[in-house]
Amino acid sequence: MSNARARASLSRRIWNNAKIRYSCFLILALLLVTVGAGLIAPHTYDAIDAAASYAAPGSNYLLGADALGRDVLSRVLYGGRLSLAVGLLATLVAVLIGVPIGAFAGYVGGVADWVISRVVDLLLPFPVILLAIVTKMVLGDGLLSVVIAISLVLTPFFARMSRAKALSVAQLPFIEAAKGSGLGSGRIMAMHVLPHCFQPVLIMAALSVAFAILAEASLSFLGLGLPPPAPSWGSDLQSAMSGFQLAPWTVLVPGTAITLAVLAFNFLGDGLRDVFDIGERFL
Amino acid sequence: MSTRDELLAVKGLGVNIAGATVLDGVSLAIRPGEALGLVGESGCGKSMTSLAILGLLPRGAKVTSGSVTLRGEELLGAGEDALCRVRGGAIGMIFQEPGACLDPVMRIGRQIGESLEIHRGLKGAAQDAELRKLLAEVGLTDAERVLRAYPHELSGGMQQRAMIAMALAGEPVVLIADEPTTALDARIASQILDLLDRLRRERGLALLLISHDLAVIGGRCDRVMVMYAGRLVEAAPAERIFSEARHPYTAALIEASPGIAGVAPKSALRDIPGQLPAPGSVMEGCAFAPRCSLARPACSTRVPRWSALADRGNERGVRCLQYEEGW
Amino acid sequence: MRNALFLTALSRIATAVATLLVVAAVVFFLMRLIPGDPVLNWLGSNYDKADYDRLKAFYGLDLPVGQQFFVWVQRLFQGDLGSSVLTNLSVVEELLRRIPVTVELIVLALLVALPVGIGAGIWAAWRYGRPTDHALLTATLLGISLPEFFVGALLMLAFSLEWRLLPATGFSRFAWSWEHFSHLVLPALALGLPRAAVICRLMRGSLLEVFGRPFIRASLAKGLSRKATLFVHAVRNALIPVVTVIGLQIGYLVAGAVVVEKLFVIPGVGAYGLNAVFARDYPSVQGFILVVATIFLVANVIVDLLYVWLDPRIRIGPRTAAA
Repeated sequence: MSNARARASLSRRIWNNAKIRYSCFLILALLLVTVGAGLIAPHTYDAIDAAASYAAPGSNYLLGADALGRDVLSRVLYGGRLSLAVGLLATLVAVLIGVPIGAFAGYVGGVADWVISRVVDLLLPFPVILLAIVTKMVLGDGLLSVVIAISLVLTPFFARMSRAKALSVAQLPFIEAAKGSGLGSGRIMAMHVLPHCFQPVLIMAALSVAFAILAEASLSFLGLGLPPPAPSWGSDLQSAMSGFQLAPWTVLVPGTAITLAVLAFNFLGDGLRDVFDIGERFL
Repeated sequence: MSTRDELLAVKGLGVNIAGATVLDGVSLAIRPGEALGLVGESGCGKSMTSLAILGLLPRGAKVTSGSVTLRGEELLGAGEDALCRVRGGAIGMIFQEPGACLDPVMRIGRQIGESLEIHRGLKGAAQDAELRKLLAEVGLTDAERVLRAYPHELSGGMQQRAMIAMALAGEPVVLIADEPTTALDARIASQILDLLDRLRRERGLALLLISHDLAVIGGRCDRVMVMYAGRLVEAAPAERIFSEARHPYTAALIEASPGIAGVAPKSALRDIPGQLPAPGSVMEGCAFAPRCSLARPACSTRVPRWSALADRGNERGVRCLQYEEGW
Repeated sequence: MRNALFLTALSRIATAVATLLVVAAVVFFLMRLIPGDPVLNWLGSNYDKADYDRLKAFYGLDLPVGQQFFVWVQRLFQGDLGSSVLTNLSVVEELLRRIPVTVELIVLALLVALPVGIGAGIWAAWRYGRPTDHALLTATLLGISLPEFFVGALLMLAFSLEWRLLPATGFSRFAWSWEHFSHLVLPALALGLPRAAVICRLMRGSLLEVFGRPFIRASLAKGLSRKATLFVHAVRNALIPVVTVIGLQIGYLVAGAVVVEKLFVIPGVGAYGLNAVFARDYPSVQGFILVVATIFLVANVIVDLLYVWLDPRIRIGPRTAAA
């Protein structure tokens, strides 16, 4: 009863937080327009029109056209699919791998904990670009290698956090009680340890999506993303740099799109942190 | 007592935090060379009183009434510059947990030296000489090591001695000691109390000793004041408080204290039943009424007034309906 | 104290060298895992069998992998990383020429990020809950959401294309001249400002935590003004946790340097590495990764020493003592 009330008041607090509300609207809108790009976009992302090279924003090309006369708006809408997909997928992979590993290390302790902690310490601060370059060279081009590279960077953060959480939970008296009542380690982990990680994981996941979108954009900017002509905010911005002076919109539009998407998820994470009231200690 | 020889006087002090009353009509006064004990359970407003005197109330706390005067000069509402001269100058203060009250990343010598510099303008060699004198005065013999030490390199007792040296650096006339021994073990605690005692006599300091422990206060003070839930409930000379406690709360406090100097506990150690009301909860009537074994219905509706018990005004008094007419 | 610093330095350097060796080994074997025959890649489809064998022997690729590694490590210790497949220039020489450029860029970015971030963090904490604080928090949220290359592009648009104050791209050799530094102002800002936003948030949070500690109240009680307490006692204590996180930030700086070098066409390590990656020039890629890892580890050793210097409670091994 009181538990149910606590949950109800928590969800009300979440909804009452303006940061969370606005960022959720923004994220939802981004998902809708990018997933529905096929319906909304006035052109296809690879429709070349030599006559429209660097066409200024206007009635035919709402946000202008790029060097090859491709519609900037359409490319941004389609490009958002890649950014959001990478952001969400990489975070999902990192959560699914990092959280159980960290919780296991923290709960079980001993040699397993030592080994996992050392690997995490080693990976934690490593520049994303290096990991991305190596994974890309090993796995080749494609969505998968970008996702793996970024989730490799994110996973240790989730592992470290859930390890710390599991360490503190493992010392609580009710865990002793659960052991005493004959529950196995696996069940205790699933029923008691993992739920305690939920709130910090949620916050970190929101911030991770923001980070992953930024990382994907940076990799694409460097030419380490999907090969052309696949639309991507980062690579579009890079190829637009040569005509920057002539057609600033070709740079400003994808740049603004990246910032908006990243901002939305950072805002969400910030709002969740306000609601759950957890210190700002990670990332 | 005549107001002329009062060094520090607090009159009718009231403090609110976010609209909730945490101090209500607190009055006390100290003369030079006198030790006044302020006692009560944690959360009763003792520390709030000492912080209000120095204008160091936490964010959100507001003084709503009363006055605080030092040698007749009003401190409440005084400018920040004036207050900075008083803090650590005329009024020195030491706190609970000396380990947490020292800056962990600064050498002890510099921390004490800071006070010497801001209050007495001492720098360089003059400061160094004065530092050694201060350390000797508080019983820290290995000055060389202590001055260069970081707080974590000293024991709790040494840390508190360093804090006392810091409080003395500004040549105060009043020393406020807020639970100075709570974080220390018994043997060290009594050494620190002896030190405070000696300093009071040698320097003629007025000492305001704050503690939750009557045993700490009883033996070391001239007068004792008991606080409960933001109000003073009893005041008495120290030698009378144990034998002639008038307020039921004081009596309960004495009974709950183990081995008070000279007074064997009447019964086995007893906790006071119930707990302090949450700060700011509406106090209709006597705040102690819910825990009081003598309470009558009137106690929970009428706020007791301060009843002077002798012709000496504030020095012997009690706030309990028993001593009012119509009981 | 001096001794503690020395011991910590020694243990940190030892750890860093060990990490570097692990990284080198991992990189080496991962390169061997890449599908396809690299020699075939370089030769293209029309090749002569004799050329193929000669190339394979020349790069030692005809030996078993274990032996290849042994030879590679041996050469590494002699300061030899082989030569580029494309240009046949020595990888070590090429990298040595470029390292100062990248290191300078990172140092300049830190000179932007640290003062701006720490200063803004102090300001926000000092004005906690007031409009200044909210404005700074909003600005930093925007700052951490902007990719370096977009910050750079915007700066370029304003300062180079619009106002023509600074060159848009390019580089000139190191000299204590405006000509040299004018090319690095915008790159350093692009790289440093997003980090400044992160550091500002960290510093603000850390200061607010310190504001609640008893020694701050004790400092006020001894007569220090609020401002003096902030700068003498609060800031230094608040910097300790921030410094540990700056180690992480250096990782982002190194990664960001690659991006910024590409945007502003600066001939640094990053540009070299990227070209090598696209050309599948394995000796160069290996050298590039080693150099970046070294820059990163050296920076982290410096951060660790700074930490010991700031916090006298730490003797050796900040990681264990910090917990």
